[in-house]
Amino acid sequence: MLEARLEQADLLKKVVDAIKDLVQDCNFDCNDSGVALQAMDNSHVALVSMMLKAESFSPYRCDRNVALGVNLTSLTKVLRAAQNEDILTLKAEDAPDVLNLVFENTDSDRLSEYDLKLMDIDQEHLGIPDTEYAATISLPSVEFRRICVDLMALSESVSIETSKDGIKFSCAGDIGNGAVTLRPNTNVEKPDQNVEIELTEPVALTFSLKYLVNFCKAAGLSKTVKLCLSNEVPLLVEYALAGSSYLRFYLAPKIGDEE
Amino acid sequence: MKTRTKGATKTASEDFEVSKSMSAKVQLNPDSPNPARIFVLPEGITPEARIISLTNPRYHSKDRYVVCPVRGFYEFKVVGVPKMTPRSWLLSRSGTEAEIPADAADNGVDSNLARGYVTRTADIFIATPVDPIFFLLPALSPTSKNSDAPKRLFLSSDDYFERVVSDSPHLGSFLRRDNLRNLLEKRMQAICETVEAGEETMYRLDEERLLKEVLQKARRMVERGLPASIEEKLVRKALEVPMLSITRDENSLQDLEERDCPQGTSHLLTPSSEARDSQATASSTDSAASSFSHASTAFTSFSEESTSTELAQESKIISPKIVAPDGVAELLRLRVALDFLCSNYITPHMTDKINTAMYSPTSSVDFRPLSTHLEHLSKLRREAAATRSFGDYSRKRSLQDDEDAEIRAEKKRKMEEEEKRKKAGESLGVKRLKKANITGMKKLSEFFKKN
Repeated sequence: MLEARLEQADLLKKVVDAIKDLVQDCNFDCNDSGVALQAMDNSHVALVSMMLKAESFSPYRCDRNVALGVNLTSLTKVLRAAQNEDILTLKAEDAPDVLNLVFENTDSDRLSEYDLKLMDIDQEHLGIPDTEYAATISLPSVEFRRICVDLMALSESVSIETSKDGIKFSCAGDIGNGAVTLRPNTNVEKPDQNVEIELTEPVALTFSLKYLVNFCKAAGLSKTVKLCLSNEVPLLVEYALAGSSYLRFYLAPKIGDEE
Repeated sequence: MKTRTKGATKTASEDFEVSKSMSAKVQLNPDSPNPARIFVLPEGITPEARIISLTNPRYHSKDRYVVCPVRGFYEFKVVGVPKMTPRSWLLSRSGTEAEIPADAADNGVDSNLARGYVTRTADIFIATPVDPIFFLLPALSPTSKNSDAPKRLFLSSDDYFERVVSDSPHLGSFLRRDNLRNLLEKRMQAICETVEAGEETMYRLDEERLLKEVLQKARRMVERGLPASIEEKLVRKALEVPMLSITRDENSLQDLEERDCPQGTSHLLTPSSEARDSQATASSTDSAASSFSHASTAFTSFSEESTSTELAQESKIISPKIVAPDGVAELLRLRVALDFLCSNYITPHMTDKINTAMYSPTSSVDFRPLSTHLEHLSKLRREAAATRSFGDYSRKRSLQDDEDAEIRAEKKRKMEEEEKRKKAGESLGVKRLKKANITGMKKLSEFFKKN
């Protein structure tokens, strides 16, 4: 029996919104520590890893580990029926056919209940090791999204170079080229606006902008985003959520032939 | 041993048995539930001979046999009529008047026969002699249910006969006569070890002797020539060398030639040239198929018009076709004869024993050349089938192909449906990402290990 109550339906809505454009179907793996999700896109070059810790819910009860196989488009349709401030409760049996979602509106005493059919999804699960990245940059998530969207207009790929002086996003396309450089800065009044760079060695990597723009759909979940880079390994884009919950994206770098 | 052909030549006297009377009025009477049948009974049986029910040694069913206390046992073989050419018998007195009256008067059916009688079918039941050994065998080696190696004791002939009679009670009265007893005991000695105990002779089944006896019967069957239908279906067809495509044809035949019969060149040439001819006239049909169908039509027509010319024609076609190393055809005929005997007269458990003994390395007949040759042929056949399906464009599509196509279409439809459903569950973003240029990007499984 699973029963997880979220104070704000908002969180799940945004998480699903951010993932649904990357993967189609995925398992929500529920155990006593929380709800986890790991899925790759169709091309297997990007991976999303989500963890909603038990602390994010109140209360949270999960007697047995269950995998809830869900089509994210369908889940989005159901979640659209919830308002951001609704209290959302997820319920499922131990061997469930359906996921039961209840939206409560405390103001209007409105209670809506939905059953979403589940599916069997055969997914391979990758073990992601804890990596010491050569460069870790944290910046406002809105800023990251803006850079990606702007550069997307010129090219499909962006090269990210980090040095002590800053982080430079640059691209070259048919109509010309462009670059955005952010220097580390500390805003005392608005710590959200900080750009922080931790660096052990300079890194230069190229990534697909289409994927990055896709990741940026999670910008609404967190004011800041953390980019972790090392040469020759996938980029980690992390949105920290309340508690120690997180939404992470991994993207394989473009190596070799540049067009 | 009896086959249809032999039975016909042996019998001389004919008996008509009409079991139910039918009046010959103008209007047709309803079908008799028990119509008259024509039996051909053996010559020289004693008046004490009777048609009785005995237990079929193979199938354990009650079947009709003629038992004569002097001449022994006869079974009935049906000479059937092809279904496509219905025939019947007209029985009338004229001509046989001399023989029938006394008999018919006794039965009170003379009026019926005198007016003539038409049978519905033209089946003839011919009584052909059968070795009484086969009736004794179930008693000599009863199927043991409890243990696999039962103690086999020497028993007197009376004990064995008792067993036989318990299965076939009709035989009891015949066994009271010494004639038949002696006959049976004599046959028993042929397949049994014997021990003299006082005045009585005790018997125990000796499997080696049985094997010898059965083998001897099979040999005799082969020597006198197997019936045409058996020869055609089980010997000639089994040894038929499959025709490959024309170019392969000669190779494979030469191959066979070199390996199997170095001196058999002359008769080997025939099929290949024949194949070439048929290829020239009907290039679309497979050469093997055409020559074979030719033979088979000849065969079927033989059954319709049993004339010597047809037979000759058939043998002319068939005889050059058996292409096999020395002795293999003979071995196959022997095996066919053995199988025929076993499958008609001997219980399955004895058949198993006989087969294992016969095909064991210590057997008196070495069947190995046959089995190796048959293996070789089946290999050739597989090859031929493979090349045929691969290279024969001209062949019309068979029913099977149609079915396959249907199944394939069904599968395709299902796949498409599934794809559609999948597409419906796909978000716009996922669709767009499909177009993303991922050159130079490795799969994440290259970086992260699978759990």
